[in-house]
Amino acid sequence: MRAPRDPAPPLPPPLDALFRALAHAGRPVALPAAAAEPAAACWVQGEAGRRRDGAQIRFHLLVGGDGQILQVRFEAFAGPQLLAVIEGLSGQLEGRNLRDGLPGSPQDWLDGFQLPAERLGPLLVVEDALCVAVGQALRVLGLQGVAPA
Amino acid sequence: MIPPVYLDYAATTPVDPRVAQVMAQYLTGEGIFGNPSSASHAYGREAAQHLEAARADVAALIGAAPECMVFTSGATEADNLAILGVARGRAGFGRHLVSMRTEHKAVLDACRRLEKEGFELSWVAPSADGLVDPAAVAAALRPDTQLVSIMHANNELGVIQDIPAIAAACRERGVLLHTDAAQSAGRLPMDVAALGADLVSLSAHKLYGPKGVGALYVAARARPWVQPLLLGGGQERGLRPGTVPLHQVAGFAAAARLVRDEGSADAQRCAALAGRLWAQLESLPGLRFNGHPGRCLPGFLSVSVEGVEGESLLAGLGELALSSGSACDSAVAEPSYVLRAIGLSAGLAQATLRISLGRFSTEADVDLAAAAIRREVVRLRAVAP
Repeated sequence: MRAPRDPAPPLPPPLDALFRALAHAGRPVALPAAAAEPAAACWVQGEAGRRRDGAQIRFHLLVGGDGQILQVRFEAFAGPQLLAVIEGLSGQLEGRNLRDGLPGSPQDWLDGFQLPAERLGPLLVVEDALCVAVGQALRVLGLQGVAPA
Repeated sequence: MIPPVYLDYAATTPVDPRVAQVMAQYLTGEGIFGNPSSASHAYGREAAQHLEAARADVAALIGAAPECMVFTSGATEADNLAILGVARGRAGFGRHLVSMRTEHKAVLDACRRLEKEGFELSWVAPSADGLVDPAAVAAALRPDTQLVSIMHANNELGVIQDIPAIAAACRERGVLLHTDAAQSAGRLPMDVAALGADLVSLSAHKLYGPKGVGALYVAARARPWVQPLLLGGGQERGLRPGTVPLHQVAGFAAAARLVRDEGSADAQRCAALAGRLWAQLESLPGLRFNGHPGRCLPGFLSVSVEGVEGESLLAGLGELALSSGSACDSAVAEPSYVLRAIGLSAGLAQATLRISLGRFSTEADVDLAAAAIRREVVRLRAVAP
């Protein structure tokens, strides 16, 4: 059969690449060797959403004693657009400091990843999961006075 | 670019090249282009002769008399003509109909229209395998019931209803029976006498014919009660006015002849391919076969996958062209009402794949599909919390 020209693929190419890669998906295995030496490096996690509501997301952040996010892993039951956004955000979070807060708001992600407006609700679940993880990290590291930007 | 493997023959089939060749003979001035209603000249009379020959070929597909076949624009119009036409035509005798929630929308929406016109509908529930108990249909009949509409084979599950048993119950009570056979004609040998239905809807594009043409079989005993939906001419024995599109009808007839000659072999091959596919999938944990394995259209497979999100599953299967358990006619996909009606949760309904194989499917297609589905299910489950 002829290969059809798809005028409206379910995922635009940048999102499709993220969805197919999901390089940050999975549970943390162990502390990486490089991170073992900073005294307070630890994994924290944050979760939000429920499967029966269509999206359940769990972030794992490996955070150094200085508040830097060394590594991100995630587990998610979600649609392809959300999985792609989570993958994209995971990449943006690595190397970022907790003091800098999240890399934008759900509205920013909606615009940045060019998602339709009805995806804002699921993005709030992503934000919730990240906020829980960041909050836990701040508590563990004794940085509670530092509010995310 | 490698084209996606086409596994959606239940949605539509490509026109068989042999059918397209026939259709091309009915378009230009070099061919048979006349209006079949133009009895005043040879072009028209020749066209009329070809129209009746085509009618005979389509009628033979279901063992019907040619004069019982009415050409329509497709199965949707045929369903509408059968349901609205009979209900309105027999309204003086009663205003009650019986149908199922798992019918095609062409039936459901026609029934809903009748409800707005003051008719009463009784909906018979399917069992978990999608089959309806003929006794339940019989139990739903009332003295004022005029029509029962139960599809022959479901377009999402492929399950084949026991139409002869339902027809017997209807006939005993003097009720007309309509069946939408758009999915089954071409995949199953059919004979209206054995089927027992009074009205049967057919579609050309489900059996390698062109889109835009179908037919309604109207048994002699039903004919007096069918009111036309359109007005404006006496074509199709007054039931479907408008110039008959002879190239479409000729394509339908050519497709019907191919079914007559090759349908049985096609069906056997498709059934074997579906079996090959299932054999490669069934070891995946959390896989649910939807429908009834013993009463399923050949080449048809509906499977639901636990533990994966439906949209992601479909998006991950970009190399396959298949249907999901969602209706994507809205911004956010809704789970299939058919799958919900047989008891699937919304999540499981959305994580459902309908695979329908056809004349041009190959073993390589099936093997590729099985490998892709296994890969994506494993990947998405590994990602899930």
